[in-house]
Amino acid sequence: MITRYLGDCNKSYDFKPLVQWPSTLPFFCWDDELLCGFDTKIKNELQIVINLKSSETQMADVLAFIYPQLTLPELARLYTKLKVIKEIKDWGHFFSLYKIRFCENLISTLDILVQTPISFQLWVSQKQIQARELSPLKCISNFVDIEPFLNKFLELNLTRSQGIQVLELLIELIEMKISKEVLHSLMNGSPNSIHVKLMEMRYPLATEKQNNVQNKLDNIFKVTGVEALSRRYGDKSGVEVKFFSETNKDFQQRLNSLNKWYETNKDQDWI
Amino acid sequence: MDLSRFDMFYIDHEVLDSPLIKRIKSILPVEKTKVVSKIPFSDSKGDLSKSEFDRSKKNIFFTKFKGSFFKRCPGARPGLSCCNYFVLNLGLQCDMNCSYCYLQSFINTPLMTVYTNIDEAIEELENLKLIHEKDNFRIGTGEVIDSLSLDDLTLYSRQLIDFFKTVPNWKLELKTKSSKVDHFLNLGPAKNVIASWSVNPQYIIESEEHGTASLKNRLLAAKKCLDSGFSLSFHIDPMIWHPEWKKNYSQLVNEITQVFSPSDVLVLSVGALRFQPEQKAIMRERFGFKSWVTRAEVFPSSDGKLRYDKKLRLEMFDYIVKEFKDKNPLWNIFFCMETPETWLKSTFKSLPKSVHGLKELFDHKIIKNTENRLSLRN
Ligand code: SF4
Repeated sequence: MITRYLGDCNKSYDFKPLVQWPSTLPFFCWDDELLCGFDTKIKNELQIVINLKSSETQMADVLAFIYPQLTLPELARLYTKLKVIKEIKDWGHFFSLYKIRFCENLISTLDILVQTPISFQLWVSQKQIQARELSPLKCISNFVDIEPFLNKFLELNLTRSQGIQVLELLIELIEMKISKEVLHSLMNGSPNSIHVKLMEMRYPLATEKQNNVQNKLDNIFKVTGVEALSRRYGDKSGVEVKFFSETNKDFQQRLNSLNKWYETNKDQDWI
Repeated sequence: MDLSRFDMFYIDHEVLDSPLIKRIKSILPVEKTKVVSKIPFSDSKGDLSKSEFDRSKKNIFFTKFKGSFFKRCPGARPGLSCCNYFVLNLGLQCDMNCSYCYLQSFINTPLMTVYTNIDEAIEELENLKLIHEKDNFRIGTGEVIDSLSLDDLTLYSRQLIDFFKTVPNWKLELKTKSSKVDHFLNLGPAKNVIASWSVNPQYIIESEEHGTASLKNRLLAAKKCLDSGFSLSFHIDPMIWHPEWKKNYSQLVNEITQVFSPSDVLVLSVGALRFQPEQKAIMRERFGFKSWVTRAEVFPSSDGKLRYDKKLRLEMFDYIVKEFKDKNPLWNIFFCMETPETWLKSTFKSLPKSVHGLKELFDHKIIKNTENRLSLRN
């Protein structure tokens, strides 16, 4: 086993792994480059580090042995560090160890991901976002435009699926040249309301039509105990009617009132 | 033909002796032509990236197609009304560049492929003819490659037209956004050969259908085909919403109806923008947000594709139907790749099979029988 002292190791592969290297585990290096424990506050420069480089081992396998699980941003940072030194010849093999298909689309996503604010990368790690879900990042024409929004991402407390949708909507709206001020004003409130406001901004025609229907309903729909809401389900928009009944009689009464209302208003353009 | 738009022509060494290569080898620029024993760029894996897809439009690979040429139209799926015809794939990928092109979510081969063994395709048709000569078959070549944009190089239409002239009950549809027809006009008349154009207002052609022929040239080519004795069809598909859509589609109807009458056009169909959700990413990357397609307000529909709001689709369809009917009530229009519900709610109030003149196009019985026979053969 070849070893060297910690003090003799470089830290140029430090890809900021999320989990601190446990001090109880041995340290590893690849020649004179440290592979783990980059941030360990070890006073003793004489700490022994095991060099795993050998003619029989590939660096990709060694890394997967040390880090059996890495999130996409960690992989992006690691890839960025390592691609320049050309120690890993077969990136397809390396990424297959993390069950990821290595292709041009992945490379371009990783290249963009490393440019995003570290807090955004943290969100991507926490929510275990996949490369494909970050594809909107690849159509950003000017990264400066999106950066302030990405900086805020972690604080928004979005769920995984909300976050993916909000990211896509934001990028589309930025690319559609909606002013930053307007967008910033939408990024307040509950996660749900942020999502709704961005949707309304992204789909103005559909929103306007839906609002018009709701306005009409507010004016003409007067059935006690029954609520009528303008709704969209996929490519269909229409009216959703809601009521609650405790008894058969109650139920029948609501239906009768609804029917009466419908008979009076069926010729109006309300749906 | 202008070959300068291509970066390279790769010829599979196995097809060097094919009639196509023998004929065109001297036309291909020497410095851009290479004989290969392996598919170029085949190391790339997964979905094509923007640059890989762009590259695939500029590099042609001539090779042999291994498998059955004859396939059923992809629109024929449960829950989806479709013109349900068969397709003959004579290549893969297209040298034009429409923002909405479904090939963007379909193709994972790194270059444009042209199959050199058209003789085998025709042999397959000959075999079908033995059993189905009297049936009303409809066969298209423009599903995964434009039927005519490279045809002045391959001249495949000429071989196909020659064959189809021997089976008058069958129809061949050559579907294109190019205007390349001059090289087969002298084979007319052939009423069972339908020269077919996807058309859109010139404004949409300029913003979304890059590298395609202008509307004027498409209509001019269509007129030449008509005058030479071929049948015609027009597909106003995909209709694309934009603020001036009414004015522009109305203008399109004017331009068509000024030159053609209902009796000149065998099929006139309309469809609205639709695409698979996974296509969004590459479209955004390739065309940005100046495109009315990437900006479109589309929502998931029951078949999983993204479409305009259903009421908007109906409004667009009704509008175009009315525009045509106002010019002449004899114009018959059908909707391709729409759900049965849209048919019922539209101007027609009926499903395709019950629309006068369209029954034959939707005859699933023949298709079912043929499919059974084909599956027995395979
Ligand atoms: S002409 Fe057809 S196949 Fe070619 S890019 Fe346009 S939509 Fe795609």
